Amino acid sequence: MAADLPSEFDVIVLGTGMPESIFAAACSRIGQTVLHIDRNDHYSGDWSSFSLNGIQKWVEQQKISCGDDLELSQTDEASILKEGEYLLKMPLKAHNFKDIKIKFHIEDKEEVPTKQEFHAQEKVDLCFSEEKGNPEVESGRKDEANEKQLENIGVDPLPVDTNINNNASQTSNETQLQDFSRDENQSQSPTDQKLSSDKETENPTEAPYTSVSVDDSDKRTMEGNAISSCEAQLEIENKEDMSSANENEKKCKNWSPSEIQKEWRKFNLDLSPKVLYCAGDMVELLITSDIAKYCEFKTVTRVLTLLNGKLEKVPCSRADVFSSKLVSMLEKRMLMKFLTFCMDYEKQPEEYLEYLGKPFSEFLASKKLSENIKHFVQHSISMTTDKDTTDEGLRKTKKFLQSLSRYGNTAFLWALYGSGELPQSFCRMCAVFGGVYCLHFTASQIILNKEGRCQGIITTAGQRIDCKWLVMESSYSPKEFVSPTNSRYISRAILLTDRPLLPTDSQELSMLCLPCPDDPYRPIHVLELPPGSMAAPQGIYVFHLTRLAGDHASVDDDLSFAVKALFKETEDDDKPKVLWSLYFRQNYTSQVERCASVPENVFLMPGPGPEIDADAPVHVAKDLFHKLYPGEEFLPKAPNPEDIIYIDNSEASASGTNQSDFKEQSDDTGKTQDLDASKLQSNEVVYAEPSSNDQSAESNDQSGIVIGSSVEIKENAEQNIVDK
Amino acid sequence: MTASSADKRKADLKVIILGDFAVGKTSLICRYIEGKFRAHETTIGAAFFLKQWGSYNVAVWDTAGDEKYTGLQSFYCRNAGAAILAFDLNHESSFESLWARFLPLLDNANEDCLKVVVGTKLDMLQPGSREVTQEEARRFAREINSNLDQKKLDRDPYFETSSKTGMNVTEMFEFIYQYCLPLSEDKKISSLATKRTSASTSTVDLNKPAVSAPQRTKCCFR
Repeated sequence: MAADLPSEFDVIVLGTGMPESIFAAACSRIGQTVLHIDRNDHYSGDWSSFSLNGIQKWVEQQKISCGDDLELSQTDEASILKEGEYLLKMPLKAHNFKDIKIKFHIEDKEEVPTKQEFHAQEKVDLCFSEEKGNPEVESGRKDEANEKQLENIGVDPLPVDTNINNNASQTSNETQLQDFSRDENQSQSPTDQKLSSDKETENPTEAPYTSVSVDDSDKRTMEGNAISSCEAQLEIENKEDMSSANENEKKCKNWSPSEIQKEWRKFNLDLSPKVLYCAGDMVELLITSDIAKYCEFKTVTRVLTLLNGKLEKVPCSRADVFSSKLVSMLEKRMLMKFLTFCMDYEKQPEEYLEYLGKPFSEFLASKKLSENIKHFVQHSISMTTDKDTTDEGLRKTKKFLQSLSRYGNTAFLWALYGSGELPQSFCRMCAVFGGVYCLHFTASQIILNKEGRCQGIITTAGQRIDCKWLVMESSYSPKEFVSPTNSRYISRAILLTDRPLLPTDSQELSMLCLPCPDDPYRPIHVLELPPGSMAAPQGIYVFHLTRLAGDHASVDDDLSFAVKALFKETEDDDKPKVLWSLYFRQNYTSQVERCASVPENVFLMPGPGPEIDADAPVHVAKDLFHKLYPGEEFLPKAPNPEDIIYIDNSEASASGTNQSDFKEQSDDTGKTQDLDASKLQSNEVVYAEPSSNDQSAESNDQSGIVIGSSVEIKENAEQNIVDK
Repeated sequence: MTASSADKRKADLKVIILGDFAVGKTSLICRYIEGKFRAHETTIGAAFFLKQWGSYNVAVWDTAGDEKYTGLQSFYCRNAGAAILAFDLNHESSFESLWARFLPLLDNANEDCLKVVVGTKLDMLQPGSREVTQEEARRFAREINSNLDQKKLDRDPYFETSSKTGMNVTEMFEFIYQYCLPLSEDKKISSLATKRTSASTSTVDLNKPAVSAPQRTKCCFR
């Protein structure tokens, strides 16, 4: 299908990771022709988010040695090459991951699936045959036998009606009856749940939480102003959670692998989970480019820390500090004073001058902060280690504080459905402006001329495509271009658990930075995602663990400190129980050094690094863009073509080709119709799903009025930094 | 709150269109939105439309030309309440693509997403040029919607349209709305509460921010 691509583009971009996608969108935005290719059959490359089936498939693909899944057409080089040109082979497959271990930590209960469940099971088994002796595969067979049995008894396995089916299952199979009663909440029995998920949709959201969508409309400034000092762009929606009482009664479900597998679509598991600083460069870019409309965000609701072996909530905002029982009155004043200083530390250089270049921890010590306060500032607010300098520590603290009050109680946002959505939204912007996309396709060779300049590529379909600039994620590049020195690894774990870290009424999205005793310079970053973040189905919590890999330790060793401290070890503790885990190591090439052998019009982009946030790729893309297109604006706000409502036909057709017309018109229509995708989706998010179908209209309605607060990012001149 | 901000409501329904390159997806949408035929070269610039239907806001998403070489983003289909699967009546391969390429993408749509199969370019049919029979398209449409409440489907979700003449275009969109959006206001409230497909404005009002929230989030360091 991709054999008939145009033979020439201004820019060819290989890899749809974050920096590549941002760069591609920026080029397309200024009218450059862009061919954007990914060797994977999914977007976002190593930044991707997967469903459960998706990530299982991904694990399989990592085992394939070298691009076997890509079809490679033979080409007649002589006919394609011009005089003096020669070819360099490009790798068809990246080797960015190793030590991948995927595992269920629970066993299947015996149960009789209904027919529909059984279909799901079949799919499951397909992707599950990967590991021999996996209990899942066997259970699949069991299910098959059970289903036969069910049919023999003469019970229609298709649910005709909730009750009938329920009864049928119960009478036909004792085991399942027991399974049902094991569920502490009857309305959560598998049948009910399945039915409701059929009739309703995706992940129900429950309990108060914060949903943020980014929007630029000026229209909301009114509300913004009303909201006050907290900046005009905040729009907060806070509804009583009528159903919270109901939700509180819900106990942790006793999951089985097949039950989890059945919900495979509802998982969005990130290879590289990245939070966004609310006042960071990524958020700025999302707003200024108007790409935010493609995504939805939630605020990280709390920052946790492990203090004297106990998980505690770090007081960040004024309200937090004053309500915190962790800190004494004296410490409250101490913390407030210090943080106020950090907000504009540059104005008081005398305070820290002598510590420049020295460790931040020394500076903190000099401030005579108490141990607790020091701990909060170092590990949770600045997230620095003893190696980080005072300049770095102050800069990070300030960034945190600036981000703090912008959208919520903490300094961070999380992209709903996973951070893999972000590269995709840039890709969509690129495509809207004419960028051409090809997935599961790549360049097999690079064409160089006798001066060593890149002329173009030869695709896996055997086509020659010329380009002015070739930009690629570093794992796409010929080995000649990469210096072998910069190979570091990140240890990662994705864990699914049955409950949150701390028992809570609401769905908390937490971050935690854990300094480890074995090497305090490599803390473990933990991200806890509740079902409301669309990372998992109701009742399952996703934990992302990230740490720079140690030189000799295994990936488990690297992360074991966090796993032991946070998760269930014995049956009787009430910590979250790990249901499923995926461990892996990811090659980290943040510092792509430019080898002398790289042609001057070829550029390499780094993959995801160990940073918790996504600001670095913005810089990388922006720097390269300015280098290639000096004087051009980097991702200016789109004329909002997607919001255009055609009012007048003649005007409309004119605007199709003329961007300035476009702008006028969209401004025009914007006044009455500025609904956008993000709102559609954010609306989705703020919906609580009733736990049962049988509820009356009224009660449904009530449970619909969920929500803590929903926030909209707006573009507003005042939004950046507000002085005291 | 001003009236204009009240207008700025969330979409009650997301409708997406899928189908091979050059089957006339954008023309179909433009015919509906503008009531006029425009032969589009490719879909550049405009890929999102808003339509008001009664008291509802309907968001109609068009592809951004990125379907040509297998490039549709997974989030395109996310939370879609209805999907228009378009094929060219004159090209059988475009019909096969619906099954092979585009149905799998609907994993990200709502589970009860209505899938409307639409044959395009009816006006270009010459005697003998039709490559997809009504019967097979109709059967396909029935099969892919078999998970839905059949009582609500008063006909097969299959239409043969012409964006040039406008034939069946409005009818097709009306059919989607009739199916996906409840008719009366009373029903709207109850139905929308159970159905996140068409998330509603009646329960969550973005224009009435809670006053308590900003105080909570207000930061002391400023």
